[in-house]
Amino acid sequence: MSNLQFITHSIIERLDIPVLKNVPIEIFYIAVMFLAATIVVGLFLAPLAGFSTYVERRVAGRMQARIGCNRVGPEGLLQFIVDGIKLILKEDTIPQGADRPLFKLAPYLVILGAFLSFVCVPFGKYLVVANLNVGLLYLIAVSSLVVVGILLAGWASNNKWSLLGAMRSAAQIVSYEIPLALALMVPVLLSGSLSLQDLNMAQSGGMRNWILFKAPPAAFIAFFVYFISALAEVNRTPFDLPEAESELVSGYNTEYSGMRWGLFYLAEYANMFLVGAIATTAFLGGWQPSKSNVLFATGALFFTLLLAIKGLSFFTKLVGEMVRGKSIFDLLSNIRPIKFSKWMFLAIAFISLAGGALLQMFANYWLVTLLMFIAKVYFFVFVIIWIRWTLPRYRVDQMMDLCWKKLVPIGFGCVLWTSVMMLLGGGNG
Amino acid sequence: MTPQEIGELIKEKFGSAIFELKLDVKQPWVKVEPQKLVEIAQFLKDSSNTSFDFLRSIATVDYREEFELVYLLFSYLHQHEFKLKVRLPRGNPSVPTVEKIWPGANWHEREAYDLMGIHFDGHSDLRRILLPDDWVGHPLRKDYKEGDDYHGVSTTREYLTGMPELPTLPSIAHK
Amino acid sequence: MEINMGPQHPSTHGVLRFRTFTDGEVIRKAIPEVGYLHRSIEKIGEMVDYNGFMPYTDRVDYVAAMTANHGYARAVEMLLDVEVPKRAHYLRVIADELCRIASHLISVGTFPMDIGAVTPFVHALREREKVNTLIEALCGARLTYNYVRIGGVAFDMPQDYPKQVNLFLDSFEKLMHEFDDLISYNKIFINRLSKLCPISKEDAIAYGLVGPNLRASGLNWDLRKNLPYAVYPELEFELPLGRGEKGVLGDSYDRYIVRIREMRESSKILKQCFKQIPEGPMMGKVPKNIKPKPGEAYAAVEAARGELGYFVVSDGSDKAYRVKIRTGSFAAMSMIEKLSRGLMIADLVAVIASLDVVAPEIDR
Repeated sequence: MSNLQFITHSIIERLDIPVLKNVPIEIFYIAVMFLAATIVVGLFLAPLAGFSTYVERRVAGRMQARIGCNRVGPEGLLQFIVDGIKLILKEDTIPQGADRPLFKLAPYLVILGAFLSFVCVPFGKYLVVANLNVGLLYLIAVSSLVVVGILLAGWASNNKWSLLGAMRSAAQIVSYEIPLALALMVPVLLSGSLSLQDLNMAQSGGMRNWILFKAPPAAFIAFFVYFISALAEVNRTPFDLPEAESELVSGYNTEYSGMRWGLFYLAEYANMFLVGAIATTAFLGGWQPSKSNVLFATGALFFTLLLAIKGLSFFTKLVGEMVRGKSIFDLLSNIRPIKFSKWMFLAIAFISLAGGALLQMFANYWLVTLLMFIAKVYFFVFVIIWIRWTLPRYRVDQMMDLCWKKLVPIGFGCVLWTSVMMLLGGGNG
Repeated sequence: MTPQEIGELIKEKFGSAIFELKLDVKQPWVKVEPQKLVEIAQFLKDSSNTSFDFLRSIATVDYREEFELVYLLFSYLHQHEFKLKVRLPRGNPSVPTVEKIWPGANWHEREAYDLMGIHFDGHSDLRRILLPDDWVGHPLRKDYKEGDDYHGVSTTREYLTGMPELPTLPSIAHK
Repeated sequence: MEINMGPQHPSTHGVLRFRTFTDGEVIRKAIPEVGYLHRSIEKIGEMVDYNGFMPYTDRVDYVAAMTANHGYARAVEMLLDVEVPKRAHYLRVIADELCRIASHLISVGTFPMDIGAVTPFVHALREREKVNTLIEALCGARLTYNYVRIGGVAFDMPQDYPKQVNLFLDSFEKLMHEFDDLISYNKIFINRLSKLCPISKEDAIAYGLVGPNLRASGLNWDLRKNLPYAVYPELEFELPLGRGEKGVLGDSYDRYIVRIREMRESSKILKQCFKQIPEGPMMGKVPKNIKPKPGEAYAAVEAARGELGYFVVSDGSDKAYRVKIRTGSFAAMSMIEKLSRGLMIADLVAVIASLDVVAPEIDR
């Protein structure tokens, strides 16, 4: 009996209302389904996406050597709530000559495309709203709704610049779905199933079982192909031509104001979260914690705290000097060390070890798997934000060139290599 | 070449077209007839002694009876400069364009047309550049009077009419 | 389709308008419309006296105003035949070079922003804030200075100014390293800019391009070296030229990298100035009421955007008869229509940014 049926039956038994016993059970299934989806999306996902906007502003500020958003609430944590309220209260402008029904429909399609995908993503050990056995296929299909929404937004705005942005975006998203699907074929081949929960289960047993390290180097390369294509799918820099600020003001969402625009904005951050979620599920072990993950968790915590406290100057300097051709041994011995007092250092190490130890004790508890999942996904969200504030954007033809002439052949190569290795190995990688 | 030599060169080649010369100042100039301007300019650009390949600017001055166009020339090769002047009658200020010789003159001539009202024959796109297309008048002329309004927006500040004459401020004294 | 990159736009540098006729993304024709910032400064030159015109020259190029002041002062000094004391010359050069750094910081900061990377803009503007503070210590204003006077400069520098400026220059050089690592050699940035609109030397000269744009096209020309004025003959610095290292000679990347290197040369000049500056008066012998003999003079300085020249005609009275200002952005703007055939819209933005066009210089 699936989770859904179990939950539904237990709720009905608890409630014990005689009238309900005559209603066919399917209606309850549907009702509980809707409830679960609403809870996940409304109470969990929307705030998560909103929090991502705060993280972006803060991280962007630190990268630009300024503080970032820190006024509303402690360290600015309430900013996104206040922003949401402000957007709801704003005037709702619709440009003259715009196609009203399409104009109003477009944000809903975009947010639908973002939120529908979360229905099949497993957040923890038993935490998935609908464990579809064609999960990945469903995901790729549903995220194409975004294209329709963007095209509608650009057309219905009655604005040539929006139209340009929408056309660019349609071309981009549709093109990059191919390397995306190709890259996702590799985990599917290696785990034997399209279902995301099965992908998670196939990576149990520690970091060495992550799909990233199987069928080397195909899965490793496929991971990067996936990541780049996913960045293009969600219109993030360096592929944010559809919303290129300096050319098109804001592209397809120029004419939107108030919560309609807020929906586009939220959908972008939800999509970022989705990219991270699929990346971890397919390649990085999903919510799986186990003994080696403790080390990973300790290390991740340590570095997160280091970065959070001292900013990125250390790492960017390292990379910068490497670009100039200095050997890494020179650099590590000569770079001015981060000025930590040794108490700070010890405190960070202690917290990380304590965290790691706790994780090991409760490794299979559902809350721990949830936290593990969110930590991994937020790492990706952080990398996406980092990339956005560092790199300039591609031009349209360069972006198409990258997709069709570089990523698609590499994707095909990965799938081929994986298949060959599986044939030769007689099983998984 | 010194400017004096350039002046002599022009005098011996185009003597008839020259109105006036002033070669003994720091930045000498030669004033020529409008019709011969293009020929002289072409000669100054092409001749290997002078090779004035850089037209710095076309300045227009309104001396009340006539206009004067000053072509400030420079040569990167020889690093010498020169000024070519043209005097135009006020009633019909029109001069052939030097756009074919120095393409950069295109916008300079448009500006001269816009602000001073000088017509350039043969210009490919003579229309106003700095002022709106429907502006009336040529502001840099000495006898220019502003219209009372532009598209309904009055050009006088009503709150100032009726106020006493403001004293002119003294120029900024140095210490 | 006709798209209007209107006067208000996040990326045109100042109020400029382009009527672009495109075929999808490819531009068939881009017609620039200027004049939105026309303030009739040349006409005002005929209405105020010579000293009173100095604040107006600030507004000719408010991004690097000191050089505009300097040019006007040189032109009137040529008419008056007045000698400016050495210390004043040094102070003028110091102010000029600080302004050049400030102006190039804006250019080099907004260029990546137009291409998509926002972070370099913030870093560049932070440095410009420091330069603004330094100039405020010198003359009291952060944007429009009115510091240069006819015959000298208005104020002396503070006592610890050399220390302040050297401190800034040390941190500035470190920041330029970081800036380079961040964006100058970034693959995407180079891909966007290399081979974009190369301007050959002949074209550049024919259209009257000056300044870093001309040097990026390969011509070794700078007023500070070839027709030196003020104390530049005594200062040692090099001229960065475009070499087409990441593409073609004279393309947009060259114009960008020339500006980055010029900032380093400016900091070199500043350090030398502070070592060599002599004591002395701040102003030469200039009458209180300036009434030059009738005549005309043309003087130019090497501003951040190239040759900023003033052609001043005097009729013997205390107001100029005609002031004509010749700027580098005017010529650069006139080239854009020719350069823009066959570009994409994203490229048009990049080209405008690479030519470092500012609206007040075009429109005056």
